[in-house]
Amino acid sequence: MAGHPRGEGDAAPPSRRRRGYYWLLLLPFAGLLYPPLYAHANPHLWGIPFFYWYQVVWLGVTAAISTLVYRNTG
Amino acid sequence: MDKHPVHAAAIVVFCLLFFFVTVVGFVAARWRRADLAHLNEWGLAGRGFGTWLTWFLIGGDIYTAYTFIAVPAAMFGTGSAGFFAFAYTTLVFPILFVFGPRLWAVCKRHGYITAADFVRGRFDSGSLALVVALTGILATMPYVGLQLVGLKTVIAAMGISGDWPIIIAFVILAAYTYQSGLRAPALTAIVKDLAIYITVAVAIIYIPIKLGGFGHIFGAAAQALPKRHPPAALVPGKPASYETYATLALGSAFALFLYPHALTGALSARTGNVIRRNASLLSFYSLALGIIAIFGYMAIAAHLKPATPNFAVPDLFLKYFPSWFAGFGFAAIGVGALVPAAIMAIAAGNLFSRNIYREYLRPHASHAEQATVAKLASVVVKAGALVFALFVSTKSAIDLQLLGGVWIIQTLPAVFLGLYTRWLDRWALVAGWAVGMGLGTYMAASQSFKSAFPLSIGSFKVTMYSAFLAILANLVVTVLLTPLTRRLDPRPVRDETVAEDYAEPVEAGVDREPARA
Repeated sequence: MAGHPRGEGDAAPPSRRRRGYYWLLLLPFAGLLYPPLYAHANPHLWGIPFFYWYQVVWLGVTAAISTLVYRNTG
Repeated sequence: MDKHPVHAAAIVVFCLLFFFVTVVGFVAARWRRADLAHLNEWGLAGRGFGTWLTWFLIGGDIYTAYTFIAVPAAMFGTGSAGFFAFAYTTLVFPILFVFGPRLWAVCKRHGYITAADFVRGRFDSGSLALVVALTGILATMPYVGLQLVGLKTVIAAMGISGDWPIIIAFVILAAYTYQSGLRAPALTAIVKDLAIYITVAVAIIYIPIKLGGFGHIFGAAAQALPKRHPPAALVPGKPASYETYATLALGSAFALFLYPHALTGALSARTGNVIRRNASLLSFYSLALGIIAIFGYMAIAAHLKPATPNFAVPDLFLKYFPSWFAGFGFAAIGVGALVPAAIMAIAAGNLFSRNIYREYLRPHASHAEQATVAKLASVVVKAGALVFALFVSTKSAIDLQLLGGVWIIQTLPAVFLGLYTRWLDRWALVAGWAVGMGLGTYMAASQSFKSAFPLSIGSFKVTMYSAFLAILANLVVTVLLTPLTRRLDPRPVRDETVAEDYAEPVEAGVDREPARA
């Protein structure tokens, strides 16, 4: 077990204070679960249709969001 | 299926890498030496894995040989519809980030080894735990069997026919898993993933150059896909295909970390923060998966005519790589079958030992006895998978794997919602599960095991992933029945857990790497 039980006088843990950051984790769902938003061939990027590179961009954004939430909570 | 000529250099490289992995698998028993006669050690490696090992383990666990064969095969055959796998493996990480550390914390606090252990403690119900355990075992079996389909495919691509290579591979796998437990797939996953990353990096640079760039690859796919039966598209264009795409991505993402093997990977982490860190780091695997998916289009652009779509990637490697490097790539995929197969068998063994054997057969079984039973059960699971792979057609194996996804998501209310509320009643959860299982199985079977079900109620028509529709029905039934079933069974629910158990024991500096990385 990492850590000890918290004492009575401890301040609220950071994970409580900054819970708001967790809402950011909903963004990838908004970005990816409505395909009409991105089911297009244009614009191409290096010959890759929009449909594909748009989703790859969301992978990067999702990783960045997770890192951001990780650093600001717990 | 066996039209491939013998590729001697590929076979030699394949066998060398396989031999190396076997040695690593057996040596793993001595690594971080501990008492493997305790289920916490054999089945969860003492919950001691740091960020990197967890990364390799979960990565090795969810990006399986079947994935490497089936995703590009789906792209080759059905175009953009197959790319949902990429969206799904993106969405899985926010889900892991939120639920993973909570489940890890409560399991660590109470010594739970399986999700069913948690459900038992939370809802004070052996029946609900049994239902969760059986669903887990049932959903895992065809998944292990499908790993063999991946292995069979690469072996056949090298020109070796017959079942004996798979039998040998699985005897080796069963032996080292029995001996080393979860330590074996964790160490072999490192070898597997390095080999996969090398193969993917070489392929994504070299093959597009040979094929005249991505523009040409996607252009060739755009031309070929509409001529498929049924016609496929480079970009989804119909409302039905949007609904299917989105619900497949969402449903699969929620299902993944309910699978026993995925949970076993997450529970073996040393801290909840290890899991949170991995939620970002694991995206490298998804990137690799996206690239591997595009291999399916490269096979189209290269004018390959594989015997079945499963041979799209093996044939691509054989065409563009020297034989020895194709063998290296095949070995990466082959080991990619063994790693998840081992974790799946261990996870199923844990479930059987804890939630069936200890719960119903020998309530006072010692830790050593539980570990022995789990080891034996893992061998039985693998033997079952072998029989399955040898005697069941590939088509049925894939159908059953689809059903596995439909089934496993039915444990979501008990496991994921159970992490946040004890309000749901145990019998309502069982009823919801039964409705979801029945409805989901019916919907999948009625479409001859295609993943989408065309639902029409009056003028309301949608085409959605059957697992998604079934879990909605499950949730509605569970919530509506909760007040009723609680009145029918008013025994108080003795919830073993308290709110603090779910909070991560996080304090600054406590879990900094890498004292024991």
